This record gives sequence, C-alpha cells and structure tokens, in this order.
Amino acid sequence: MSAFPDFTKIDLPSSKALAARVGDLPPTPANAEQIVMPSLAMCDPSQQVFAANTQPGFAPFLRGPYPSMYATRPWTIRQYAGFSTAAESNSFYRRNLAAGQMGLSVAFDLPTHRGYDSDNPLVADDVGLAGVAIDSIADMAMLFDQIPLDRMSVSMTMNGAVLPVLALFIVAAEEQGVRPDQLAGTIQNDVLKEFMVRNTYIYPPVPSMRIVSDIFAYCAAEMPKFNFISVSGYHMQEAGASADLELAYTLADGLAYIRAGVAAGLDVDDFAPRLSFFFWRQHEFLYGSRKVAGGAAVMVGTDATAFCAEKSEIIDAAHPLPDIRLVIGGAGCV
Amino acid sequence: MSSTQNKFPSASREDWRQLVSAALKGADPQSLNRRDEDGLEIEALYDIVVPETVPNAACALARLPVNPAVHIAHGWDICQPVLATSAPQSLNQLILEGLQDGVGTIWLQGLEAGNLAVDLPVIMQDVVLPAAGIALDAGNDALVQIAAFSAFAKSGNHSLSALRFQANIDPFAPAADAALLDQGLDYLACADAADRPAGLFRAQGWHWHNRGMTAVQELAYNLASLTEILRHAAARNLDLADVASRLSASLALPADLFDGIAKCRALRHCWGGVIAALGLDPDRHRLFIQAAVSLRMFSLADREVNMLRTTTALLGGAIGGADQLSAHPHDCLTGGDAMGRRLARMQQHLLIEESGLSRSLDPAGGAGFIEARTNQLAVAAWDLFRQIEADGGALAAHHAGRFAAWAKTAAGQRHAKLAAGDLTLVGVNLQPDGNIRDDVLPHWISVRRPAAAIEAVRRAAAKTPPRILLLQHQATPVPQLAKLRALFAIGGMQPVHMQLDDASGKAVDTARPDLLVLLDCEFDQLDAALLSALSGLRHAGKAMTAARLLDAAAPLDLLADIVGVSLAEFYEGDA
Repeated sequence: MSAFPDFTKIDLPSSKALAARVGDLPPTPANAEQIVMPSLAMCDPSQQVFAANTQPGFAPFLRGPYPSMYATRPWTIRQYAGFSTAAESNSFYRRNLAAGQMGLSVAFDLPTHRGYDSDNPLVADDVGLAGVAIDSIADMAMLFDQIPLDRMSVSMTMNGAVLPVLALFIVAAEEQGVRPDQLAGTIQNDVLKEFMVRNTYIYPPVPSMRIVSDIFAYCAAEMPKFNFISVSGYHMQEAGASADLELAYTLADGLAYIRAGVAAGLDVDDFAPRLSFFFWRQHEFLYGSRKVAGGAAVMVGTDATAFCAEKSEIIDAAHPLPDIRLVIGGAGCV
Repeated sequence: MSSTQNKFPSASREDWRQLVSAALKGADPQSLNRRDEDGLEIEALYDIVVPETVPNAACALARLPVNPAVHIAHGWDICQPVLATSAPQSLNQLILEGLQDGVGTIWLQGLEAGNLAVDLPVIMQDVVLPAAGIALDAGNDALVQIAAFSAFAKSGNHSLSALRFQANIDPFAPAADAALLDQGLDYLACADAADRPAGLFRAQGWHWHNRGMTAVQELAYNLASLTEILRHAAARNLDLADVASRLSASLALPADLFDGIAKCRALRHCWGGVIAALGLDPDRHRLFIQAAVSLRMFSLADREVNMLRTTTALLGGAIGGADQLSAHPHDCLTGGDAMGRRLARMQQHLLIEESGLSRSLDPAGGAGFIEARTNQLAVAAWDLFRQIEADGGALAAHHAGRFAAWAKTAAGQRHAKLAAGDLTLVGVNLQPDGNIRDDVLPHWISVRRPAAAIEAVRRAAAKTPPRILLLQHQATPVPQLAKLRALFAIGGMQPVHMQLDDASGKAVDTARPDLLVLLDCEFDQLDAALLSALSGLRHAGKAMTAARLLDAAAPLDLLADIVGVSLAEFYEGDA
C-alpha cells in the first residue's frame, strides 16, 4: 500500500471539496400551518441575497431592529406578574428586581381590566386573582413604591381600562418626581384582539379605537420613551390559532391602528416607531425563530407601502422570557 | 423576490458600521468583537452566506450525520449514561429504567471488569440486546469488558458484530494505557468477524474537555487520536476502510449552543480531510459523533440550573447534527435521583418530538455566524492537529503528557478568569443561590469544574461563617453596599452593616470581625478610638476600604482568604 499521508504537509480541504451525497430522505410532516419543512435545508439564493443586503438596524429589520442588538445590550428580562394587593405585588417585584430581573411586567386582575372597583359585589370572586387589583392612585403608588420609575422599564397588560390605568401610572410617577417624558415601557392598549379572543373590553369597537388613537396622540407628544401599544398575537395562539393566523391577524390589527392614528390627524412618523409587537413562542424551535423576523419584514413592508413611513415599528423582544430563537438568523431553512 | 423585498434600499456592511459607530458614540464597531478561549476572534455581526447553486443531490460533508434518513425519521440516538457504582441488580434496574423511557443506547460508565463475566447476566437481565444499544466507557478495562460482553452475547445466540455495541477504546484518553492501541488492533486482526463490534475505537474528546481542554484542543485531539489509530492499522496492513468504519468520536457540548453546533460541523469537515488524504471516500466514511453535555460546566450550588445548561447544550448537538446525544442528569455529580435521570431523558425526547429538531438536517447551514465559526474552528483544529503530527503524533503526545498538560493549563487559565470576575456562572457568581449539600462522587472528582473553586469557598464559609463588618460613614445609601453584598454572596457570606458613631470602636472590639470594610471613607477619617480598635485588623490586612475590595484584580482570592481557603491548586489546574 502507499505510504501513510504526511499530514504536516496537507491543507484542510475546502468544504466545497468535501461533498456528500444526500440520498433519499423521508419527507417531514407538515406542521399546523401546513408548511412542510425541508428535510435538508437548502439555501434559497434569492432569499439569501435579499438577507445579505440587509443589516441590523435597517428596514425591514429582518436581522433585528437595533444596529448592535444584544452585543451592547441584552434583551430585557421581564417576568409577567401581579397578584393580590398592590403591597403584595410590590414586594414580589422588588424581590425579583433584586434577583436580577431587569424590568417589570404588570398583570392586573380582571375587575381592574373591566373597570370595576374591588368592592363591587359583581366582581367579588375575582379581586386579586390572576393579577393585582388597582382601584386608585394610592394603589398605583403602592405598586411602584421604592421602584424608581425614571430607571425602570414597565410593561402593563391593560386594554379595556387603559385610560384610568395609564393615567394612574403617570400620576404615580409624578408623585415620585418623574416626568412623563422619562417613563419607559409599554402599555398593551390592543383592544382589537380583546374583541377577538381575550374579552376584557369595556366599550364598543369604534369608541374603543378612539381611546387607542387618543393615547397614541398623548404619548407621541408627551412620552417619547414609552411604547403605547403592544399589538398582540400571543393571545390568538393561546386561544387556538396557528402561527400563520397569529401573524396575519396581528399584522392586520397593526394596520388598523396605524389607520386609526392617521385618521385622528397624527403623522405616521410620529407614532409608528412606538408600536411594539408581542408574539407567542412555540417550541418548534426552527419554525419559531423566523416568525418574528418574518413579521417584521411584512409589517414594515405594509407600513411603508401604505403610509410612506420613514421609520418603522420595533419588535418588542422584551416580553416574558429570553427567547434563544430570536438570536438565530439567516439560517437556510427557517 | 417578494414585493416586500423590493421596497427597501440595500444596506451594506459599511452602512451598518456607521450606524453602530454612531450608537457607540464614535467607537469602532470592532470593539464589540470578543475572543474565545483559543484566542479566536468572534465578531458581533457576520455577513450572510450567499451560496452557489448546488446540485440537489449533494451538499457539504460537514452538514450530514452518518445516516440522514434515520435521523429525520427517528431522531438521533438517545444515549444516556448509567454510572455503574451499585450492585448488579440495582444496575440492572437503572438500565431498564432508561430503556423503558425510550433510551436507545445505555452508556455504561464506571463499570469494573472484576466479576463482570459473572455479573453480566444479572446486569443485563431482561435487556433485549438487539434493540438496546450498549456503549462502553471502560478505560483500560476495555478488552476485558469486550470479552465479557462477547461471551454474554453468545450465550443468547447473538454476536457483537450484529449488536449495537460500541466498545469505544481510546488509547490516549485521560489515564489511558497506550497499550490499548495495540491491544485493540490485535483484537481487530485476530477476533472472529462475529466478535468485531462496529464501534471499536472512539476518540474521547468529551473526557478531555472535562479535564479542561479548549474547543480547538478537543477537536485536534480527536483528529490526532483517530489518525494515530489509522497509522498503526496501516503499519499492520489492516484494511483502512474497515478500520475507519469502526472509528467514532465524542465531543462535549457547552452551554454556548453556537459552539456546540460549530464543533460538530467542524469535526465532520476535518475528518473528511483525513479520510480524503488516505485515498478513501469521505462520504462513505462520515464520522459517527457522540455529542455529550459538558460536565465541567456543572455546579453543585443552585444545581437545578444545570438542567438549563443541559437543554441549551443539547440544542447545539441537535442542530449540529450529532449522531448520538448524551445528557448527564443535573444532579449526577453527587449521585442523583430518579427524577434527575428522567428529566435528562425527557429533555432529549422533547427536543426530538416537540421542538422538531431532527426533522431538518443542518438547519443552521447558511447562517453567517455558524458557517464562519465552523470554518474558524475547523481551520484552527486542523492547524493544531498538524502540529501534533509534526511532534510525532498522538502516541508521542500521550507519552510526553502533552494532552494532559494542555488540559491542565487551560483549566488554570479558566480559573484565573473566574477569579477575576471575567467568567460568569449562573447561580454561582451571578445571582448566587443554593446550598452545597453533598460531595462529588469519586468517579467525577477528576472533572475540572470552574465552579469548584467557589464551592470550596462556600463550604468553608458555611462551616465557619466569617464575621464581616461593613462600616458606613454617611447616613444616605451608598452604592458600594449593594456591590459588596453581591460579592460576599458569591462566597455564601453575609456581612453585618453598621453606621459609624461614637461607639463604633467598642462595637468593633465586641464583634471581633474577621474582616472590616469601610464603605464610604478612608482610615484617616476615623477617630482615634476606632483606629486603635482596628489596628490589629489593619496589621493583619483584614481591614480595607470598599474601593480596594471591589477593585481587586481577583476578588475571589479575597473571599477565599477570608475563610482560609487556598485556590492555588485551581490556578495550577491541579484541582
């Protein structure tokens, strides 16, 4: 036989020189959206060329909404929580913040969502369950006691009773000496999905949309660091929707909110950058990773087409838990 | 191209640089880059790979497991460890427990050859051998254990060659006797064909990782070890194609899932280079890779966090297309229980069945970072492999203790980073929590875990809690207090916080602190009575300002010093 190779003189062959025959592969099952993932991810050159000509921080934000993304600042760790009284919830929040949580995500109880006081006999069985009960400025001040609102990003899941709750939040901050323009965070303010799946609306659709656009107008003028809506697909998935339905309805809702804002006389460039989105994460890992990026691209495309916006919305990757899928991009099959 | 794609102007890398530079207030975007343990530079952003059109029937070798069709249809081989420290009947129950939970291969660790021929019928009772895979981790007992399994198989009218039996001989593993090389090849040359297992040799990179090797060292070790086996087989005029088909390698999966993906792909790429140089068909001799979760990343403190590490690590092996995945239970270092073992098994089922990670081959292929990192590791590993070859090959390196020295040095450097606060371990030095309940089993004592140094400090602090006094001058809160509390929490220490007043001197005398820290003042600002009370502590170096403590080059050394623990052996890589 020939002499054993002298590897000190052999370079590593290129990957192109080491080809493998794939052979016959079994088909992969279609998922809930009737999308069949490829057995072997073969890059689609047109998609890759498109993606290669985009960068993080540039529309359509396929590769992330911020130029340096997590290289300079990781996602916000924000655990959705709230229960019992404002004092109990405040104590829980402060323990979590001491343990490394980086922002707050407030869950309100159903009476607060529907605009009832805690002493209303109609809601007696729901007070302090599934969220914290907030009836007054005293409650809201207690909720954020010893939590500096000028340095804390606060997300609030509130839709139907958004006016009083946002007002109380602003006043609680003022009582801490914090101006509205210093407040950072998000209020969900997505009433359309309440009519579809979540049900904590108070007023009919038209006046509800008026409230939404009034909040847009106020926040755009007074709260430049605050995301005044979180267009939510999450609840649709929880109510049974597949990922394509979730994306489609969320994007349609987002468009409706933009129309409402424009109809109220707002300049789309004044408020579109403050729209945020909230998606559900499935544990089909590879599929979920591109849902967010795909959503960004479609939304921004629609946005730009319809309203000639110069800027666009951000994807709020800050909801509950860090999602490792959000950090994987550009893969061939997803 | 979709209508959406047409609407946006292209953005170049230069556009991105300018945007990032503005966000960084003029700093160079390259300042976001970092270096790994091997000194390789990792960038903050990679260009997306635009592939050339490839024929549908072919792809790069690095992308495929050994049997792609089986991988898609059934997932990878779930190979779970069973530590053989119990009596044969108990060991049998552990094996059956795993198989009943869907484990494909039992990885027998710590099995002793002593009475194996007698015990094996008990150990393997009710195990359906053609269905159950057996993987040995027998060290220097490998040939004895192979013989015992061969006899046992024959008693059931089976042959080793027809079973899913992996003998996994590695002549260059830690503490291995290099004579295994000749013994293994003798066995291959002389044994009946029916007694020759498909998996005879396995380069045990996983073991060297746990001893401390870096990613590049581990990859290069695997290449050099397998190449040495082939070289000796060639010298014996054995059929290299046959020998190559009986080789495999193990890799460690770190919590960094990207490195797990890239390591699997890089090893396949490099192995293709070895096989091609031998004149064999790389495609017919794809390397079987066992990817096992790193044990050196485990912690005894807050040990449930090990489950999270394990899941992330398994993701790397799954996306990287390993043929066989193994996950030790989160509590295995101290013995563990049934719940830990079951959770470790269910992690793999979940990734296959619910997360769908085996349904698409190489799903990360084409991603800029993954392709670049794969290539970077492959090139670096190949260079180091060539250096090993230039120095005489794996056998010479083994005799010279070179592999052991690499592992030891890397472990020491890793500890230095930990001591300096540059290596983060969740639950250990970030958000420290949890008590250390039990001792590490003797079988795992050789695993060089960075967390072990902090565990040593915490054990000492728990045994004799140090008296630490923090003295504050002003009444208003000072930021140093929270930082110091966080630092002492790493060592499991709870300082007492006092505000200075006229009685502080007496209080210090009474408290008899082991360490005193001034939060917001200097010693020359203290009154004479207090200075007198502190003189002994100052003389012994046990009184200092918060700034000195917080600015220390290696804060962990200070914590160790407080409780009288020496970390010297960790710096040396000996621990």
